[in-house]
Amino acid sequence: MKKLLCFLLAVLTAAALAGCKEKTKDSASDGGGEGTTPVTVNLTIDKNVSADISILVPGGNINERTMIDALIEDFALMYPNVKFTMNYVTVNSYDSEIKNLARVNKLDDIIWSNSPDFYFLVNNDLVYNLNPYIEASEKAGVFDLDKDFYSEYFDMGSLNGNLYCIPRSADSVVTFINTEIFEQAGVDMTKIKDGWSWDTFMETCATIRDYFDRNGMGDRYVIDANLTSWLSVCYPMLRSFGADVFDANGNIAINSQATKNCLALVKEMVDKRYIVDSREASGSSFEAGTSAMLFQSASVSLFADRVMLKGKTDLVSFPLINVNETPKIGCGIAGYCINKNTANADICWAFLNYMLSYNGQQKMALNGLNLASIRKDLSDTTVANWAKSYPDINMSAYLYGSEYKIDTSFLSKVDAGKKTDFTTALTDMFNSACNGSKNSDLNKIVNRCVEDLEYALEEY
Amino acid sequence: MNKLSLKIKKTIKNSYTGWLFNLPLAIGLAVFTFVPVVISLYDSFFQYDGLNVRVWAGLGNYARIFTKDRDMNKVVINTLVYTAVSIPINLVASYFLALLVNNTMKGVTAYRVFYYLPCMIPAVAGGLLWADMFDGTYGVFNKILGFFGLGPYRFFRYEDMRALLSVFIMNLWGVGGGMILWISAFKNIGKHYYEAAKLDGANAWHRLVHITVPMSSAMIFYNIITSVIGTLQYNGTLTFGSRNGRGEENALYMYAVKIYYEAFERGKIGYASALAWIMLVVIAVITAVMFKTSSWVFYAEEN
Repeated sequence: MKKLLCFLLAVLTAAALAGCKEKTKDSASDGGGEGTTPVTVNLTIDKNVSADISILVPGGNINERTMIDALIEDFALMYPNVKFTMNYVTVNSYDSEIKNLARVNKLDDIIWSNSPDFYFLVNNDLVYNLNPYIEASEKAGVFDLDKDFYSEYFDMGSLNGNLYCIPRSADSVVTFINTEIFEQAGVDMTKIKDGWSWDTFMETCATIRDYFDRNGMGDRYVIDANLTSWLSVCYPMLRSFGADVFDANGNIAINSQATKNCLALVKEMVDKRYIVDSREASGSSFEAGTSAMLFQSASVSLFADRVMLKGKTDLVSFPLINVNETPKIGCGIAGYCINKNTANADICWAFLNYMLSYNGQQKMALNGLNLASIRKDLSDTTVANWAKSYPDINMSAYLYGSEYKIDTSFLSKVDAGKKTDFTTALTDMFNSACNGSKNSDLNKIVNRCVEDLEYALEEY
Repeated sequence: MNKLSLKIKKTIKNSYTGWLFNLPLAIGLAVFTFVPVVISLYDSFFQYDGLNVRVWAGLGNYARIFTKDRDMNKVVINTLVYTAVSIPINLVASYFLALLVNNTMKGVTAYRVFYYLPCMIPAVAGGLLWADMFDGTYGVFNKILGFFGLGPYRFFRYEDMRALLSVFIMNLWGVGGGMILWISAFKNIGKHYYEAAKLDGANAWHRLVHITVPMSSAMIFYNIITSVIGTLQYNGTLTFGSRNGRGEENALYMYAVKIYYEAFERGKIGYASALAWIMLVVIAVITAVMFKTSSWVFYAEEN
């Protein structure tokens, strides 16, 4: 008995210690695979079909709820026996909430997602590869993806060539400007137009800085650049300089001269007091009307309708960084995926197809969606509902430069659980470049980022 | 055997009403506490993402905590400093607040209610409120300090111990909760002790040191135990700290935040479970030590 006990303990200890072996990954994984496709695809659904469809939308976003409600209302006219239920997800805990729903098989038929978050759905094989529906729709003449839509946004909902997330709008980073400050500072407004260069942007910053300093507003900063908290600005900047997080082989490639050149530009902006030093407790804010510019992709209504900015807001495209002849503009998508376990994939597709339609896009725009439509025939800002409420604002800035648009697709190369660490490592790097006590040694900042990324890749 | 079964039957017959009343609580504890605790122990031996991946890790998760996790030093130091500083500050502040309002002065009840009110605000709402008040640009604190030519200060956004200092200041907001407990302890101290002491010429300080403190030592002990357990598990920074509650340069990174971060941001359920079990063991050891060294506590009933 004693011998048996000793043997069992020895086996248990060996098994336990076997798990202590270090597991590391030298490079990023491919992320995703071929994905699951629907077994059959049927675009012609009986008008009297009965079904219960549930849609998962971000609970904190009232606009998302109202626009989906509006689509449901229209869809009910076409398919009166299809009933919809709306459920809510918290964007900040998206992965864990989806995980819990999937574990108990309660994940909704249609799932809201966005360009980095849908990688999680794909990595866990939770949603359909929608390529068969796209192919069938094109074959049936419902639409032509390249002709009818800004197809780069569909690429952002794709992984390895498979489309998983149907974009409901085109989100692009633009420059919000406070026209009152621009005019008072004497900025040459003829230069402020879509496609303006980074050099022109820096000249504009210098003019406004000078205006602030001459008029007792030394504590104000020219631009609320969103550099230290948002990859949609800092990642395209890196790419504009020719830097990237991974090389073609999936190895970490952030430690490059291009990265340091990009950070040197950020340092220059801090030194010249165009953007706030991250050690400062307070900055100035575009929303409060104390800074002249803001890099943002949000709906114009969030700013232009504010009391402090009423009649003083305009838009221009993100300034093009031409140092490497590869300027980039940050963008992304929010959209919807279809649960691969749904019993009603065809009806879900019919709903998403309506969302993509001219009428669907116009209806959503009347019910809370003020972002650019993904349809090319809604690019006329005098006709399209998403833009026509703001005739004095350059809404076409959202649509400028399809060829420059880039999202944070490098995140598709890492497991979903590493997304936060990667995001933090990069934003921390930019935060350090904005820190006057740290940015004198850019090598150290980049090395720290490499350490953070390598640490994030450790498997445990 | 028959004797034993008869005894069991008799016990059940005599006490089934009590068991019936206890049943909902017992089921609740079993389902929502005991089962998850056991599952977390099981999970702690796996590399587990909470959905698909479950790979045997043996003691790998535990070994990583002590050998490879580069955040652990900072996390442990932050948690210990927070515990070591926060508990005395809050206990002493609430104790003296209770002494102040433990009198028969007119309107004193209003003060007690006033000091207790912040405890009725949910912790999440309180955290968001303080984040707003401590904001560098818009925060009311910096506006007031600016009026006196001071600041602005970054409060929670400092990269060093000043971030924790801001949390200590914020925590004073909740001392009303401790105050209520102290008052209840003071009310149980017989008035005759004070009358006798006064007759013997004891002043207010002597009465505090020789009567109030010793006679409320059971409550002091209770508050220390619950504070230590609660403070070691502090995760309030999730509501107001930058970088998912970790703060700049991990200045606010606490052990419970680490568990949350590993489980729900990194999806490392197995590793987070191992971290939680280490915490459980540490808390159990500290609590046991405190009980073993509690001879200084005075229990009136035993006397």
